[in-house]
Amino acid sequence: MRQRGLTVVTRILPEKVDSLRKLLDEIGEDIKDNRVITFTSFRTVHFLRWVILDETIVRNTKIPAQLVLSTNYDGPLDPHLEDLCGSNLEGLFKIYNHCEGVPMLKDTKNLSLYLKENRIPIPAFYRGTVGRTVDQIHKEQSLWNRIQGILGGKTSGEPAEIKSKIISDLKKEPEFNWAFNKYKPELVQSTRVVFAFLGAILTLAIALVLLPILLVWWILIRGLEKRDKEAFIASRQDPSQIAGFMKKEDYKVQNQLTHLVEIKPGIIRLNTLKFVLWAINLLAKMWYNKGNLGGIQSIHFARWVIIDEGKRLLFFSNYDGSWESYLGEFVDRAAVGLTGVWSNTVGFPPTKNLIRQGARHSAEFKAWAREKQIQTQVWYSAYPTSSIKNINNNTAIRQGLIEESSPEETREWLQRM
Amino acid sequence: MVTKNVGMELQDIQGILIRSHKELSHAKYLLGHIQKPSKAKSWLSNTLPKITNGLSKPEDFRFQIAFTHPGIQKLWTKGMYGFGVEFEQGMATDFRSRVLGDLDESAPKNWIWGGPNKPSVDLLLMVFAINKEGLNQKCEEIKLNWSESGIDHLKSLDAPPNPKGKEHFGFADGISQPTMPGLSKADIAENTVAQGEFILGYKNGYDQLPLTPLIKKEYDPQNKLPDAKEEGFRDFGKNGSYMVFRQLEQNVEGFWNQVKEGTKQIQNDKSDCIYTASKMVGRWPNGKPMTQNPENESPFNPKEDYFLYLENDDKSGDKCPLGSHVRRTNPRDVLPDNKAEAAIKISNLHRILRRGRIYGPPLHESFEAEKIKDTADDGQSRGLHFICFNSNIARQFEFIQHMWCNNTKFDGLYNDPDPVLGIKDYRDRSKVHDFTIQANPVRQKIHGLSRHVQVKGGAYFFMPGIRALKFLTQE
Repeated sequence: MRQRGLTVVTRILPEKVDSLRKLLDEIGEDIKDNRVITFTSFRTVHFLRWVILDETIVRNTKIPAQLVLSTNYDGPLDPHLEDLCGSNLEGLFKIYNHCEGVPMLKDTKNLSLYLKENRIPIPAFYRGTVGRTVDQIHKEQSLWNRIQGILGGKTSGEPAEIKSKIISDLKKEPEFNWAFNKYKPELVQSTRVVFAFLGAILTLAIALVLLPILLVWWILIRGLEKRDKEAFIASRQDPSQIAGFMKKEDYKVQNQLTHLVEIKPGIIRLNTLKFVLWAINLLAKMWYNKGNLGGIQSIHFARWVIIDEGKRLLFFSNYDGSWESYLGEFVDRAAVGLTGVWSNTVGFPPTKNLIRQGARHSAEFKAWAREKQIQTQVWYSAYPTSSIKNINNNTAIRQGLIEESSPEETREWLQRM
Repeated sequence: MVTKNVGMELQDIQGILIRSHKELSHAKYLLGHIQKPSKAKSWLSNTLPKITNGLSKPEDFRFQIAFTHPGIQKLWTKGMYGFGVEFEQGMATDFRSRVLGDLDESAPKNWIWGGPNKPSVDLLLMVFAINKEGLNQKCEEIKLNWSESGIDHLKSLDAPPNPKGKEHFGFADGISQPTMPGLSKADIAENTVAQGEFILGYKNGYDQLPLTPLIKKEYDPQNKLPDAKEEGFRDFGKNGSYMVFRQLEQNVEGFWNQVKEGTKQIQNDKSDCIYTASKMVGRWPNGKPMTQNPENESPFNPKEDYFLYLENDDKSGDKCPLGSHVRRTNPRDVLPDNKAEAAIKISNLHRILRRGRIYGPPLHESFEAEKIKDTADDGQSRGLHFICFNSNIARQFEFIQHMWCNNTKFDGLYNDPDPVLGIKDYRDRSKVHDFTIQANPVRQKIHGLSRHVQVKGGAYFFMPGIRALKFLTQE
């Protein structure tokens, strides 16, 4: 099944911003036992967050306070909305009563429609656990746990013997029947060949047809970069601001990041940004679809969305490990892509040719990232103790369980334990 | 990694950043609390000529000095910008307790020094000497001077000689340090790490200058400090370094009992306890890397230590377990894609200069693991004064401790923290942890790790360059 992203942006009634914040904080501080939302009732949700964007002024235009809902879910959309609204109708109304235009009639259908109408497109979306449903992730984890129990402290014998012992033990337990059903993973690998081929043709086309346009664009970007570089003031980490984020970080295997930044003015920057996001989205779909984004193996889901009529850029990420390690991976492995995106936003360290330098200014980049980070009021993970590597390994174990294998493959399968 | 060979200002760098003072085998670390800053300044001013720099090698005594953030604030009140957030906040915050694993018995509220609700540790004076009598006498003099200079003596931490170079569980320690280019000792490229990873004012692993604390130019009319690259500022940090100090107490009997219990669980034919413990450490007691010889403890020369995992055909961890202590603390070429060159480059962005020394007597005088393992606890406290230097505490020391040692998901593992430190995952307090020993045909697993290394005190210090020290002494 295809995992998708939903982003819903609604305006908060000005007089209700404070009470909404209070409500969301109450939920966020006690995801398990709060009295508003029962997260365990959700069936389709991998990750979910609510974030308040405070009222602000961007380039002389007042932007009212907004509430953003972001979910990563097992598609399609309508059953997901029904799951969201149906399982927690009271709670969702309690939240959305703080927002403009919420329907009068308290029922699942109306609320679903309201969320649907207020959703915005996601120009760039990345998934680390491609094709796995929430249910599957849970089940495959329990399979791993059970196999560990079968193996115990030490198991001797030939690889094939050990494997058949695992299989026969599992077959005795009806709750693992599902593991022996045929499993068809979402087609991912083969897209790479097609993609490489199309990529080659596209590059050729660009070289011939778009060269003059590209040249003009390049001159314009270089001009803008020069100006930006002169105006650049390096961010410095502010201990008291950061302390606020640290308070909420590192309670789960995963952490989250919500990052909000103003896009540089002018159509060149906005359109460049849109193009880069399009390209990243394409790469994420066709190339980086095995839980590995150019060496980064820690992102469950991430997305960029453009809001406020092209004035601001929002980034959401659900990742394994610490903020420091995540941002470090950005710098060490993905600096080009990130610089391509964020060089079009305000305060980013100086860049060259759109994608060079920028995030490679490691310390300045991290300070900037913290400066533009905003508080996430509510954040839920359906599997807070599983890393991407665990999830992907569990699926491989499950696949290997029913496949015929050579002695070498059996050995490799056993290594996954 | 290609690193430019830039000469360092050795005369302005405190000596311990360049060498470990091993030949002065007796040491004491004095912790002080500043009561009267102006008097403390004149003490510092008098002491300054004795502070050992990177060029001099006095044969009788050597002194190094470092300050915590509260300490620097007492001596300099006009504002300093750009210290690392970790240094400013200090080691004993709730966040750091989580990520460093300073919980339960190791929580800062239980610390002997550096914890909350105690007078702040402001400064640290490290004294090195060739014999015990000289050391004690010198330290008594210092304490007397302190009491006359408005500095409260909080504690003296002893670091006795350790001729065998072992830690208390019985394993060789302090091997495999990174080498900075431009010093007299040359090393292979894989182990040569940019100067700016350890000392401010030089290019770091990103080929950039590390962030450094700054002072407004107007406060330094006599040009005591060098210019910063930022317009209008002077560089207080040049030739300084961040120093991490943690007092780690080791329960030796507890550790070996756990090893014995674990050995039973994996019922290994060849396995005795030494084998199990060596799997946990990733080295044999004499320091020989498991990955080079997984079968037995063969002779080992620490000077020829540099090794890689892939060249020993140990990607799988069948020789040196993925979760072993040394593989976590420096994964060398195996993270995270198993592409050696890229992995080494990234590992080297998380290196530290270690300058720790043990404290307390060995549980068995021979310091041999074979003897220690069967010796009953004698009630004495012993452990390691863990000391390391880096230019970015968050990216180096904290990263290693948090993402590599304490992270139960390290390198694709599920439920395995560092088996030597045995720190419980703060993210799931109910979990009982494992140590997985990758093997053919299938892994062995020790279930139920416990913790035998407790934190008794700690702080983040900044060790300024000599010029910066002098700057602090002015009224």
